[in-house]
Amino acid sequence: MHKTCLFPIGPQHPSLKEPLFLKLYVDGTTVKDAVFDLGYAHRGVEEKLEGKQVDTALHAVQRTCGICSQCHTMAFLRTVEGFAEVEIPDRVALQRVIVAELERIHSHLLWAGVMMHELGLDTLFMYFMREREKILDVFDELTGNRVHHSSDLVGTSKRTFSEENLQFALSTLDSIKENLISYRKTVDSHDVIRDRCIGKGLITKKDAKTFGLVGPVARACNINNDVRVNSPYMGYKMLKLNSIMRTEGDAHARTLVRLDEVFESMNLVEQACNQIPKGSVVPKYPVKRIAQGYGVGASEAPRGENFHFVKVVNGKTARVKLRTPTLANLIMFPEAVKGADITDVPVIVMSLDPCISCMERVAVVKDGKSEVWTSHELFKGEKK
Amino acid sequence: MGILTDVLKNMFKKPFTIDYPKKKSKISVHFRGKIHVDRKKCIGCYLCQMNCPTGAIVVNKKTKKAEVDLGLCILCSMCAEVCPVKCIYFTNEYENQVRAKNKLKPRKR
Ligand code: SF4
Ligand code: SF4
Repeated sequence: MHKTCLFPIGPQHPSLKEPLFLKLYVDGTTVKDAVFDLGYAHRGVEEKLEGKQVDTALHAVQRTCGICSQCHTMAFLRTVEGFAEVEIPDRVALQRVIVAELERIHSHLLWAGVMMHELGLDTLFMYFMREREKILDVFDELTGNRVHHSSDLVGTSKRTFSEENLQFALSTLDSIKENLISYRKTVDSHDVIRDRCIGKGLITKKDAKTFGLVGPVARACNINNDVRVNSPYMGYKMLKLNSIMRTEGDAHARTLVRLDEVFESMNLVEQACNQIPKGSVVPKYPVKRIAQGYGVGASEAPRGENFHFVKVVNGKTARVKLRTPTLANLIMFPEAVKGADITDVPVIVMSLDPCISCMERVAVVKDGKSEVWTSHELFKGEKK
Repeated sequence: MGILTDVLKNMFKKPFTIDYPKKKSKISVHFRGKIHVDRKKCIGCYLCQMNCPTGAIVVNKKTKKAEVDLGLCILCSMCAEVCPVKCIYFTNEYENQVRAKNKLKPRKR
């Protein structure tokens, strides 16, 4: 019986984009066990969201993630518009969906690029990034910002997308579609990608159900948990959409699911652009001031289900709880890397698409019992 | 094979990137760049201060005019949305890096 030795990756490591501490227990080059450690990028998002007016909190909650800012908007608005019973017109609902789906495209392209970089195919990385850049230009045109769109308010949007804006979005999607089809073909057939991804980080359907995985990771294991399909919200009620599913459950299946979702999202944007009622404008702000209430809501982020709990007291947010999809998926990491070769670990981690700093909430667990720390104690780093 | 033809095609194309400091990238007219407050129009109503998520915009107690700490502002345009006289607007300036901190007009905190 060999002894295992600890192989640390992180918290700061050239192959990690965000601070995450992976402890791999290896025997030779085979991973026997793995643990991950969080807490290096805690930003206190939830604390910052307390005591703000609802529209103000909306602009702050979007800053949780730099890649999927619109999905936080959608989940937050779905929650507050749900409990305050604010009706939104079709135009607003579809405009939000357009931004959200463009965001999914840009997120998946970014991810695909980084995944290819992780596999050593920097040419494809550049190509994916080039196509993504064009999507960012569309955001610039539609919402006024390339990353944090801030395009919505409770019950309305900030600006009415003009006909030219929508045409610009559609023509941009048309222009990248052909390239993306050829990249997808490459990803499907390239020997290096196939060798390094097929059968790596295998997750069975049963495991995926037990651990409650979400998003493309679960859909690659043949579980349909797409929030857009299962409980449609806003503009998705008006659109036809298919969930992309695969059965293999390995890193290659996850790659292909994401790339196929890009095409599905393009399809959705096209549908939404065609269905926007012509000549309508968004309602004037403010539509409704929200004074009291609480509720929950979920939206489908590029990485999976994004869940919000919002409680409003006297017109101010008293508590906002966010559960971002990475938290649900990263739990699978120790299981997924068990038995893998150490060289495959970066590929497996990347295939789960972790977005670390969005999901960091402080959890102190000692001897199996949880503890409550005050902010003062956290600041000092010790408990009285 | 697909990627090889792509590589060959791209060898004879113009570069996708632009020669940045010499050439500026094209941005949309709706782009939210550096924030600007028209001090003549501002009536000091505190609405922007109450609605700013980061506390970047504050009405000066002496002059009764709104002032923005550019280091804190996240360019969310919430203040422009609530301002009753619409005196807050966003310029198209996207090069907001500075060499000295005081150019961001920071407030004492
Ligand atoms: S909301 Fe407008 S008018 Fe009121 S203080 Fe702010 S900038 Fe001045
Ligand atoms: S743009 Fe947003 S962050 Fe900046 S001053 Fe206005 S409300 Fe505050």
